[in-house]
Amino acid sequence: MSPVAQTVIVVLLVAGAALYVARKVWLSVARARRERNAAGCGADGCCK
Amino acid sequence: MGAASDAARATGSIAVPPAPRAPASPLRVALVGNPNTGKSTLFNALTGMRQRVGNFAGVTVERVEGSYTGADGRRVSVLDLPGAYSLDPHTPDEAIALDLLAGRADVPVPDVVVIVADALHLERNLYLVSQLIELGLPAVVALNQIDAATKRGLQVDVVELIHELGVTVVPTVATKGEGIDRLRQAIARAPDLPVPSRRMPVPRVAEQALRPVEQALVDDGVPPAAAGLEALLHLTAPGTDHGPAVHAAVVAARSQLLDAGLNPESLEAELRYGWITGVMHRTVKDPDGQEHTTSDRVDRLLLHKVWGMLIFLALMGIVFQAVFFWAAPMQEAVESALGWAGTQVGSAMGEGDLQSLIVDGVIAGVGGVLVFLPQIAILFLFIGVLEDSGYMARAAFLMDRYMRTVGLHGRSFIPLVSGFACAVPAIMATRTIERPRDRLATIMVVPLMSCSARLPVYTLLIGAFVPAMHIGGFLDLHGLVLLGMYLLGTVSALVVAFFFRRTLLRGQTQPLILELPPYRIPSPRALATTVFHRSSLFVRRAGTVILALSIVIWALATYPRSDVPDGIPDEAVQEMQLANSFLGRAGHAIAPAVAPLGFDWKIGVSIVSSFAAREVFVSAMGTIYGVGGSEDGAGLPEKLRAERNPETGAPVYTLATAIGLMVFYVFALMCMSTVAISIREAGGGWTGVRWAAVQFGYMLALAYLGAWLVRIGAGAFGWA
Repeated sequence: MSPVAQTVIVVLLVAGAALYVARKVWLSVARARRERNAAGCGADGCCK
Repeated sequence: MGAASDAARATGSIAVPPAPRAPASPLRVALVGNPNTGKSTLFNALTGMRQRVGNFAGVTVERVEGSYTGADGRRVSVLDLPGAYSLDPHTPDEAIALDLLAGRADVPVPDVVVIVADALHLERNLYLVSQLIELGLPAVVALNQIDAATKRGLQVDVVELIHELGVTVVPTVATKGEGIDRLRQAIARAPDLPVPSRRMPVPRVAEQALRPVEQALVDDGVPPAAAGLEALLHLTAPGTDHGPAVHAAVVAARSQLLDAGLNPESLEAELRYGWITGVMHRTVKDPDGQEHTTSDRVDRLLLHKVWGMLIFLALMGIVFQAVFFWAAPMQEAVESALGWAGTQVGSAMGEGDLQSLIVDGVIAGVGGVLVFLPQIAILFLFIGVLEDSGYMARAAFLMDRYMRTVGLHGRSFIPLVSGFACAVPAIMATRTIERPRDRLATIMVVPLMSCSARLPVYTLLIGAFVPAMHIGGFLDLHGLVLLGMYLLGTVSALVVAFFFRRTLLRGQTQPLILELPPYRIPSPRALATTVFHRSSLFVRRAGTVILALSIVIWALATYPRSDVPDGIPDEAVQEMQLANSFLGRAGHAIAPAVAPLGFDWKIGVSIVSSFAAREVFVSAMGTIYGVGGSEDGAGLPEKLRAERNPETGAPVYTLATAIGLMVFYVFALMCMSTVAISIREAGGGWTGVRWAAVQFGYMLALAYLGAWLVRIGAGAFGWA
């Protein structure tokens, strides 16, 4: 395999993995926010 | 022919006419019953799913949904609800059942309620049964564990029971799948039968007193069919969720009942138990009622103050010995396979970044974690045996004495033991605890129980640095150190709970009322399912999150490439590349923070990486030593043992470093999922965030302090 092809595959794999990890973190944050809203918390941070 | 059919035949057949033609919408069915009646096993038998089951109360703490296609082609969606002793909810999991059946949940009221009753403990189960049939919903009673009842000598007259309850009763043995087809037919037919209604007699004076309450409830939106039951429930709790009209009617009814010489607090219980006594007398024959069963005889030993505790400790010792001893050959096989794969891939691909990514990133990172699959499988096999045999409930009973001393409720034991598997379901299992402060105290300490994600960290370090020797000729030191780590976590959980219960979460501890399930021989199929399920979760995690993180860590440990002067040995080149990489620079930045613990920058950066999940520590070490390592073909333990401080030439890892690292991982809360679930279960919102922050903070402080003390202690004894 040529060095260029290797580099392209490496870049794609690393970018894919980084995106996957970022997505996981984003989903965790979104879930926490949903839980917060479900608990009746307002934008001011006060929860009932 | 199965026991369920035998029982039905012996007591008269249950006429089940053909089911009606299939309407388009699915039939919604809810499974309700006392804890530990086999609801989840029945759910699995009906739907073909693999919902977790166990031989103790409180396994299901959330509603779980599955479905099947009926004989008429109609979809039947089945909800498995947490067990409840009554519809007067005391715990969050019991409230789930009532809210759903009363139409207060976010899903429609079910079309059919399947009430699962344990034939062995019918008397106790009939309390909930009698409440449920008063809800005015089509209902079917699944008389489960009929084989165990028959074996015990109980003779249940099913036809008479149908007559008494006014609903279809189907004997079942969910563990063997007996009676399931008949139950499916009964479910399909239930909506077309007359709606059941109250069977127990209520004195005229009570009826008159309750009528205005019922009317007020109906005016407030309660379905008329359920108003009678809700009125009775409200008598014991005058502070209702309903409007002032209901409250006023309840207060008036209570005073009317008191004037008539009836106690409103105990009226419902007295009426129901009076009716249940009659039903039991007419439907169940128990010739050997007073005889001690084998379970009782075994319990005398296993629940003994001294012997019981010794047996418990011995069992735990055996489990951790086996985790090392049995897993060793399988672990070696997995290691060899991974080593072979690394060599093959390395030689098949030319030198370059892609080869390094596959060999040093993926195989070293993910493979480093996968090596511990045999240990995980063996640990879950033992936990499964202890749960399914009924021993876990006995262990809860044994531990209650110690739990109460530190201010934890006896029901905290099951969540704490579940914490050995994973803190996420364990924290959810605290829903069975009635009082919020008891529950919060348990949530705060559950992550101290060593979960399966810590096992790879412990096993790697023990295997690499603890001498392989036997004490007394048969006790493996590796197993003993592993047991020590688990005990350290457990004892710390009790001590921390003690502090919480005397500071932030003060309160009286309630006594434990625990149902001891009968002993059963665990079903090999159920055990295999549990082990397979847990192992596949571990593999899936390794193939997703850990794979992605390994690739990211590899990239951070590889780039940017730095110019290295010529004439330097390969080993030094790799070390320089690693030190100048993004990961190396970050590691050197955090090195001063971990230096007091005796950890170098590589350990520091692996610890930081494992904030996402603890196993990542092993994969990060695998990748770092794969990228910067020099001993080709050597496993991670060998590389760790060979690691030298570049300045002093002294070994980076000593026994004290390894113990300090393990102690760090016993205490540190390195798991994003646990933090998220703690936020939710500790009250959600900022309240949850605050408690989760307290939890994370105190655990990190304990981890740092523990690892530091190990280093200081080892130094004092000259072991460092």
